[in-house]
Amino acid sequence: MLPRFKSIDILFEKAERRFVQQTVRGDGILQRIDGHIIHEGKRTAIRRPDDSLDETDIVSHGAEIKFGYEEIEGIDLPIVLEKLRSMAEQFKTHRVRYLAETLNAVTQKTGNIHDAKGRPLTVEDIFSMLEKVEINFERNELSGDMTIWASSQMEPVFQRLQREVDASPELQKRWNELMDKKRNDYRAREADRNLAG
Amino acid sequence: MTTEREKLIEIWLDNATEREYQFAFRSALLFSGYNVIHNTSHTSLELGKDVIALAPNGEIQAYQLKGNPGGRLTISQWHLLIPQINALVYQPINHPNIDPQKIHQPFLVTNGEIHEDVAAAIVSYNQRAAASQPPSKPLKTIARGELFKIIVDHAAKLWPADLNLQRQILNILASDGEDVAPQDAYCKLIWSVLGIHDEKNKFKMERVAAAHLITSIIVQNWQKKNNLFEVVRIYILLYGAVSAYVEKAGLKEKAAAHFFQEIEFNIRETLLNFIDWVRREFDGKPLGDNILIEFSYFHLRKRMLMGLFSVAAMDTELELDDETKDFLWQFICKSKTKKFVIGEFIVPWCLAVFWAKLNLQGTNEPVRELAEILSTIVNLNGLKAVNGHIPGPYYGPEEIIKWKYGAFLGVGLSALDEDSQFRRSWFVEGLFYLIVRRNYKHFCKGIWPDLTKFLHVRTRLGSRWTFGLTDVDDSTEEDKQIRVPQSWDDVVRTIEQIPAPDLPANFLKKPIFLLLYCLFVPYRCDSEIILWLDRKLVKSWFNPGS
Repeated sequence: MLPRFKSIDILFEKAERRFVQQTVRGDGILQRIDGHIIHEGKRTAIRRPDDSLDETDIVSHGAEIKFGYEEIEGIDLPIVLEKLRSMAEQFKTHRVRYLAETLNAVTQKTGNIHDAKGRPLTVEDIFSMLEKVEINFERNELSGDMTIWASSQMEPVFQRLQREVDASPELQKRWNELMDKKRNDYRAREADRNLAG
Repeated sequence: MTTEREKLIEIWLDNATEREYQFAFRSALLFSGYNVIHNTSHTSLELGKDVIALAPNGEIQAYQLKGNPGGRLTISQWHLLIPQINALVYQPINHPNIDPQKIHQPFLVTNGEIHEDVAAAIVSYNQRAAASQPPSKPLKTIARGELFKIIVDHAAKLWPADLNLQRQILNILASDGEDVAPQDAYCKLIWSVLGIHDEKNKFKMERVAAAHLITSIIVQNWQKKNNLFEVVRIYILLYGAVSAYVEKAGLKEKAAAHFFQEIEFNIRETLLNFIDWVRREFDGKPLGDNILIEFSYFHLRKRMLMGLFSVAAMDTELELDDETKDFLWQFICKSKTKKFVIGEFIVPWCLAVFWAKLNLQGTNEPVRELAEILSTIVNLNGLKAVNGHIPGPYYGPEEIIKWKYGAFLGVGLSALDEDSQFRRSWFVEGLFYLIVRRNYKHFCKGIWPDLTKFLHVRTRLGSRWTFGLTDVDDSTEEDKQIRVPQSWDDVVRTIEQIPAPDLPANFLKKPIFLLLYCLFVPYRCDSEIILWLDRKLVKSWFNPGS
């Protein structure tokens, strides 16, 4: 074998893994989802209140990076970081796609879907969607812990819809009523947590 | 003899290949009064004989070693061995010190058991051999039990019964064979075995034998992983320790020669195997396994291998075939390396490459490269900021890389942050003199003003014998200032007046092993040694040799 400095190898392996993980989480939807580590075993599942057990699929994602001989001869930390970023981007794409597929599968299963069928988004669509979801107000009493996950190209559309609501007293009223209902639903759910008797 | 020692040797022997137990076997013969005769390489000239020895009774004995760790020599293996056995038994020994008319006694040695079928086959083989013309002696065997007894009996006489030593051995045996060998721990162990710091201790051959045997057990860790670079490191450190022990005892050169021959043989054999492995695995390919992890020492390691292979290329006693010579030429002269001067420890490796290139190619490129290394150290250590400095040779690659990439690795403060190298260097003076010797006046004049601002550091040892030790209390760190003003002629005269280094006799006799020792113990390589090695290793019009 070629001579190696294992203590250095171990340090770089850890630092590079940390770098890839941080880059994968980045600043998108993945950053907003809390992660945890499975410390033992290779499976994870959720046991529901009705005692049903939902096994969570664990999928592996792969990424590929290539080095030309010339690149290897010129290797240094900036080149390594560039390669790691490219690897992280591939992981990120896989994970985001998997997240979307999982959400899609779950909502298909529960039927909790509002399908706009490809037409431009309207305020009515937003109201219809919000009516279907459960909103918690634990960390944000005003607008609730709610995330709308959409393409960044949709930002102007949402701004337009926001202006429509702001300009219409009737829509504002409907909005406030909807949010009040969501708050009441939340309070009712929280009240159920009181240990009665 | 304690049970622990016996058990340790048994476990080791039951896991050893023939290459791994060969050193201990040769040592056992040597220290039992045999004269072990060496070939410098494993070539077809050996004709089935791994070890040749002259027994105390004058009989010439030839040994073929086989590794059957934890198993037995089976009849099918015996059938495959027959061509080698024929060569062992029938071919006379071709060695200048041995009378070819004298019939040798052949031995087949294995660390496994010999199957009954094989024993019967050997009896039948010997009956045929007895009737052969010219006559030959019957094949004798040494199997696991007898081999174990030879080594254990040998160990019983010499292995110090010291619990602390046993613990030190076990600690090293627990090391990872894929990692760097624990240099300090190994040296301390061997010094204890030799009793090197014990003033009442008189020279005992048994202590050298113990150091050999313990080393052959320890080195197995790295041999098993084919980590031959580290195997060379261990053997050259043993060489240094034994040279210190012999020198301290004032033993005559001739009387001590065989202690070193055994280690030299191991080093050469390991070097050949390593070169051969690198040639087969990496010829024309980037020298790495996992570039994402190893990038921080990719070029550095290449440079170190170039240095090590340069030693092999310059060793006139190492028999290299044409294919290996071609590979070494390509590897040493054509490999591209950059940003490898991360610490001054690398300078001796670069010097080895420099001297090999001067012998292998006829351009001034080696001198230009040396001048670049010199300029790099002078420029970077001429800056005030510690984080840009080239650390001194007491810091190895691991410490320096952790320090250099500390922010990315999340490593905290290092001793290097507190160890300023501002205008200090161990090597720039020696490098400068080599360039002066080659009359690069323009370059030398350019760098001279900066050089005179530097302190030129060396560790001056209290006694000559301690050169073979890697850590010496009786020593002084000397920071030398260069006298100004001086003319070119003054500098040239200074170089001529630098004395030959005061070293143990075996290092003076074997400059190639001095260079190898300096690769792994770089802070021993001072200007006197650099200039002396330059004379010994490069023959030219300005460097006629001595």
